Amino acid sequence: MKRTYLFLAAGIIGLLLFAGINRKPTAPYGFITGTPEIKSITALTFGPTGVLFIGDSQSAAVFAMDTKDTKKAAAKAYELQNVDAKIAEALGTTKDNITITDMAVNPVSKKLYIAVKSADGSPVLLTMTPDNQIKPVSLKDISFSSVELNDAPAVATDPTNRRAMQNRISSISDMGYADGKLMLSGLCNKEFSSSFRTISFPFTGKQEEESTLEMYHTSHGRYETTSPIRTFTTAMIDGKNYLVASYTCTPLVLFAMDELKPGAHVKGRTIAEMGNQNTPSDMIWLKENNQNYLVMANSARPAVKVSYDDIQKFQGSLTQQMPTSGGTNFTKLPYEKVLQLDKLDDDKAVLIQKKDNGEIDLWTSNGKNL
Amino acid sequence: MTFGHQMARIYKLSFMKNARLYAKYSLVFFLLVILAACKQHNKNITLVWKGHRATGILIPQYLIRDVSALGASHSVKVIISGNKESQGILGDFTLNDDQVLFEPLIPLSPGLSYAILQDNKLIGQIKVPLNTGEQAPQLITIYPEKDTVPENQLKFYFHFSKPMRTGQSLDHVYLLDAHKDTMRNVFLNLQPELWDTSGTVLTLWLDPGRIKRGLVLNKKLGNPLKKAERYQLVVSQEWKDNRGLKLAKNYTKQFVAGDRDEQSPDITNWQLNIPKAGTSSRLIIDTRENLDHYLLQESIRIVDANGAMIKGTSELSAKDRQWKFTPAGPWKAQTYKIKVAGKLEDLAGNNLNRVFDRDITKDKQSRDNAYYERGFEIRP
Repeated sequence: MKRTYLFLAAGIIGLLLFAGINRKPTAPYGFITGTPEIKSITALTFGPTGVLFIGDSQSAAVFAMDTKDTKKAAAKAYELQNVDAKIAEALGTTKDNITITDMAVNPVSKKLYIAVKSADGSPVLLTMTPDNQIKPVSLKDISFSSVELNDAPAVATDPTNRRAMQNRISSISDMGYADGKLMLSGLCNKEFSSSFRTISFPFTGKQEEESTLEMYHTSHGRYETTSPIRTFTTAMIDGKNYLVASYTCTPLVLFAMDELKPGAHVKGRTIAEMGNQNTPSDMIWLKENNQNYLVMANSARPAVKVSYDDIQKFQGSLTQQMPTSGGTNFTKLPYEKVLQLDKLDDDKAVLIQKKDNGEIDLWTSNGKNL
Repeated sequence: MTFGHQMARIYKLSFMKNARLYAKYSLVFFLLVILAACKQHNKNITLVWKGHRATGILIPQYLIRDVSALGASHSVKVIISGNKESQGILGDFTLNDDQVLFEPLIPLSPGLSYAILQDNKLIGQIKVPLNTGEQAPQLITIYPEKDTVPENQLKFYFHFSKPMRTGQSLDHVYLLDAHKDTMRNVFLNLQPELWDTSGTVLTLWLDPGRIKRGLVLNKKLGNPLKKAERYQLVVSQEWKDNRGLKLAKNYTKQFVAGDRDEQSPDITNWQLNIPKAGTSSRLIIDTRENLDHYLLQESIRIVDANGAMIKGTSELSAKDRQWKFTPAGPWKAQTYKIKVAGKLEDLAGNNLNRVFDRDITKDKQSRDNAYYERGFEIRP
């Protein structure tokens, strides 16, 4: 009699146990539910449907979160003058108390994701729709995973001196995603060294070694490995995937993606020089009359566009010093001080631009005026 | 109960006779009354503070009509005073006992007034005071501390007492030449800026394109610093910390540019002051040149002949020329090694593996060692 009860109890417990397992939805990409400790948002980029990568320079980590923003929508133009003042107002402060740190368009929903840093250092993630509705993206109880960006290990001089180790950061200059790989370029705050990492997504928790990228710096007139990549994108040229990278003072360099293996030393091909005393801020591909163009926004100089065909045709490699500019043909665009740029659609881009009077506007450019 | 009894006793006693006791009990009584009053919720709109940040507004429930509708509609909103068109500041309303708590996404800004509206009618206002009573942030040190830096000095570190506002360093840091003219385009403009994890140490690079010899910028604009010239590095008082407080004053560092440094630090040139066995005295390493403050802190360790790390504490002195190590236990009479990371840099960015200003195709000198080692003998 007792045994029957025991079996019955065991049966019920077993049923509950398995029911529990079955009911638990398996989160995609190995995501867990929780509240990540995000200290800063310095870079944003979208990955597979609805997945947003958040680059956190301060905690030297990247978070991948499920935005659940996966409803397909057609691209509509964004236009908001004094976007910084409008965002500040929504946050209950004034524009001098906030900084827009990055912007990304969700390629599926076409919603704008804007990272803001408040004066006290708190990071905020917002979304914006074409009707200029600003809403917060909660970072509490979200589905996410993360990867730490360990720096080249320092010698732990003195285990009691944690302070020396703590204040090292590797700031994230740009972040991009293609073919299951998250790519990051960065710069360290101590030694002068640039880093470029490719990290497989879903994150495995394994730290991958950086690769060293060598290129001919046309403005500097020499081969270099330590210059930091400021911004990059990818392109397929003659059936092969390339990293298209731009540096401070502003050479444009191609690196073959299949060579970008952890720990590898990869030599790039410099294809254009866009002028010194300049820092590129963002790079995207747009289409105009069925032609692909690379559009690059710059801090000090006008934005430029380079046609895909020209890049493809340019088989050479610049190995001569360029005092001004040269290499692949490029067109200067009448837009200076583009702070943020992202692709809205095949032929449209969203820009945040600082005007001469210091005001900051958000607007949409169609291929025609770019 | 006892309190009640005691009170009854007091009132039965004659006033003069028990004056002291009376005074004592009345004190306790009033204290209790005050405490009880404090526990009651405030009748006014108040701010919620976390440290120096105003993180929320507490609104007494009686001020709000139909609290149940709080989250559902936009009937109640908080705006910056006078900003009636505003859709309301982003944040959460929660009902707690008989108070409504509004928590905005970011802390409320010192100096601003906020209004609470219901159906566009003003319920009340509150101002966030400026943090005037608090101590202003200070610039503790600019590294390198030395007054003479190499002509090809690569970077400066600014160590503040509080986390500062970021993204605006180049609006507040100036380099003045001997004529006190502001030098243009000397610093590398980086966004995001390079702050350490605590938000108190900023790294600013002098534009490497101008330091490297023969580069276009170097030819056109020249090296940022010129030998034997005097300079002033100025940090403006206008720079605010993350509490909104300005720096205590303008800070100035005067320095002179010296010889160009085109040599990698060489650990075989370092002078060691070696203690005796059986003591826990300090080992002093004099590197004979001033090195990068932060890299020097983290780049050296002491190991025994088998490579095992010797525990102890280290400190820098002589303006980052010396590294001093005090072992946790006494030294033994044996061979030890100093192990130095290859990335350790001098002030001009030359590390143990390579000089900073080089062309990698011509430079056959450079190495790629993670560490360099040098042995030393502890004697009885």
